[in-house]
Amino acid sequence: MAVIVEVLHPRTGEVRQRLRLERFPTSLGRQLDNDLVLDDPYVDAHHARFVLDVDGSLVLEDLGSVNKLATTTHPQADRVRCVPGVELRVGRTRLRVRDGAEPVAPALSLTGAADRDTAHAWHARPTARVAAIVIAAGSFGLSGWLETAERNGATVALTAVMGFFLLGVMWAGVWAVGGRVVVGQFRFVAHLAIAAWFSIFAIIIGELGTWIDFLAPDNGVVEAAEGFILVLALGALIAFHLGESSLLRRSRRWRTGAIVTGLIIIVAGAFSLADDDPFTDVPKFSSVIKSIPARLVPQQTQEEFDAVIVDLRAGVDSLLRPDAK
Amino acid sequence: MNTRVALIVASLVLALPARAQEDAEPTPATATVFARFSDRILKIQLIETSSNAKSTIGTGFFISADGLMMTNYHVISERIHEPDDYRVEIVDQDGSAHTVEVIAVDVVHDLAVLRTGRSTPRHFTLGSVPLRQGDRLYSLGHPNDLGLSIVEGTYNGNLKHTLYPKIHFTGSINSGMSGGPTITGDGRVAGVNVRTMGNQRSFLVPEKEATALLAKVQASDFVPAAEPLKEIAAQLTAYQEEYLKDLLVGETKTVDFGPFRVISEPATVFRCWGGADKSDDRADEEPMYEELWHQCATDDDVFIAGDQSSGVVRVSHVALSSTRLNGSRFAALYANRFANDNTPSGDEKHVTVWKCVTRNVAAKNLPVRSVLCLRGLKKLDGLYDAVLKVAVLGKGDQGLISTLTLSGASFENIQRLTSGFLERIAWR
Repeated sequence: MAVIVEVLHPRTGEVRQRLRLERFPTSLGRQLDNDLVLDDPYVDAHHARFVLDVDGSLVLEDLGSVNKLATTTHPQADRVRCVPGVELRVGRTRLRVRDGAEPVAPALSLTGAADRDTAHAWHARPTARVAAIVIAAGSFGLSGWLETAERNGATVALTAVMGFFLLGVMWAGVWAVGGRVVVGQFRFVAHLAIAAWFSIFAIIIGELGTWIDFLAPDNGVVEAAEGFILVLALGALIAFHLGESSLLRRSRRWRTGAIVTGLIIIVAGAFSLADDDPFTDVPKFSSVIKSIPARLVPQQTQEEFDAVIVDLRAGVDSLLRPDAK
Repeated sequence: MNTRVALIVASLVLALPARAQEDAEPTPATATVFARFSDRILKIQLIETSSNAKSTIGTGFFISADGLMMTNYHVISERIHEPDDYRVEIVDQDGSAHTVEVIAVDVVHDLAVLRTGRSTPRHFTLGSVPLRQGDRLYSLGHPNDLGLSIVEGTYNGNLKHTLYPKIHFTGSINSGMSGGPTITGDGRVAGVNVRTMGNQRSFLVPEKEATALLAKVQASDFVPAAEPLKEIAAQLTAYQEEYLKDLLVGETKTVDFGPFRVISEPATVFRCWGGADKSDDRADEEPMYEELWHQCATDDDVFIAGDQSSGVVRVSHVALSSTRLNGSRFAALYANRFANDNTPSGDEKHVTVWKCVTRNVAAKNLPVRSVLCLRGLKKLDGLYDAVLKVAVLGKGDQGLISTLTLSGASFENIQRLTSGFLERIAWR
């Protein structure tokens, strides 16, 4: 077993010096004839030495120094057993013992973690990313402009674009900082592009939803499907962000996305259950109107509408007499 | 021939002042009226039983020798809706309170009869009173619990835009005087104080309705309703049958409204008003869009409880047009106006939540997007509130949103009026 002794920075714990112990005893002290020289005024000239015990284990032995040896449990020790992982103090100097055969993490790729999977995918190209961001910002601006009937259409559109960037920068910034911490990669544009893809998807789904709502109103299945798709997309969003900011394998990333999505559903469900005063005198109805020729809109006859009203009454009556259901 | 008619008219004109002079008794001093009749009127209070505190103050007056008393339904309505939580008391001049019983109500005309169990010679005798516009009347009651007061005013005929006649009394009736009598100088009851619009515009229930209710109570076969709410539901059902039966039947008055033709004044009791708005006023540019509106409603409704009323019929139209917005932007504006909530408010105690359906319907004249919202009245079986909203589809930069609001109507009437309303929306 090759044993390594690391000299650490007293405060930060950064490794300043490493020594491989090959012959015993190995001495340490302030004087320059030691095997390990420590420039520390609290260390004796010949302070201590590493020896092999009778059973072959490594021990650090004090040589009658002023401050002796300090471990986490014993501040004035004469002998300290040095198994890998042990940290001790000599004077004010921190030492750590390590095993030379200890496994290390695999090397990081210089071009980023996600590229293992998607290095050559079209959406990883810088132009595709910038395009996604521009399209998303433009979509926000366009929907802002379409939703106002006042003269200040341009201001509203610009505000929507600014809103997208403000939220997008915050969101992507948090992920990029996370990636910098975990894998040492600050991939801001990639994260912003992911957020942009998600926004574009959400806008398309929302718009599709209003069209279905317009053409086939009161379609409960579509409404539920829309919510479900968006929640799934949220899981995918998290998985993609993790791909850029962690070393998790693909399956783990998607699992994490699914777990977060599940948690959101549970929390939302709990809130809706906890809403103990569901009464409101404001009606909820589908009010979408789209600008297309009337002949393209599926229409019911007045007789069919009459039948729908009869069903509506049955629904209201079930509220009036819940026990009679 | 013409000369004869003119002569007759002339003689009538001459005769009128002459008759008036014959009839005119010297108008008694208000103090005299008060002194003669004030002991026939008592304060009524509604007591919340768990806190023993007054929740409502009103006025009542004796109408029979066996101690029957007339007041407004709205003074004692909480007792009807929550009999376990409220009791009705009359308060004598000396301040002592006595619990009394509500034996009959006429919710449509806002009247109630109380049985006090006393025999008293000091009561009003109901009977028809001939009145002319300008006649002096005296209203008595307990305004804001300040003590019995007398208010002078004048008779100004009946209101026109109401579903049943109400007397327009020009005099200051205030809350707390509700249920008190408005009488002539010689102590005949002209009407029962019922509501006010402020600034001396006050309304009375005509004596005729009070007389009818008293006659019902004094009939030999009369028994107080075991379930007053059922009785009220029956009264309201009969009432809405009566006033809705002619609505949207056959030819209905319409007006040209932008490029559309819409219903106006569904019946003579409706009053309509309207206007036009532009999105902005600039001399140099066309506005982004223009908005016309037209609205018809009756002047009154039937009080049921708190903020719950019945007998509201309201028709409103909004026409939108724009030469500057493209199709999508116009549709967004149109949808935004269509989503506006103008439904009557409601309390959980009295109504269910709204349930709505939306369909695109090929109505008789035009394709429309049609929304019907319905809610039930929890305590009044068989009655519903309904709001029908209709938006004309496919007219490019022209839009029309029409709304029909009904409260306290039977489902059959709602159904009939819904299809009648849909049929009558038309392009000019």
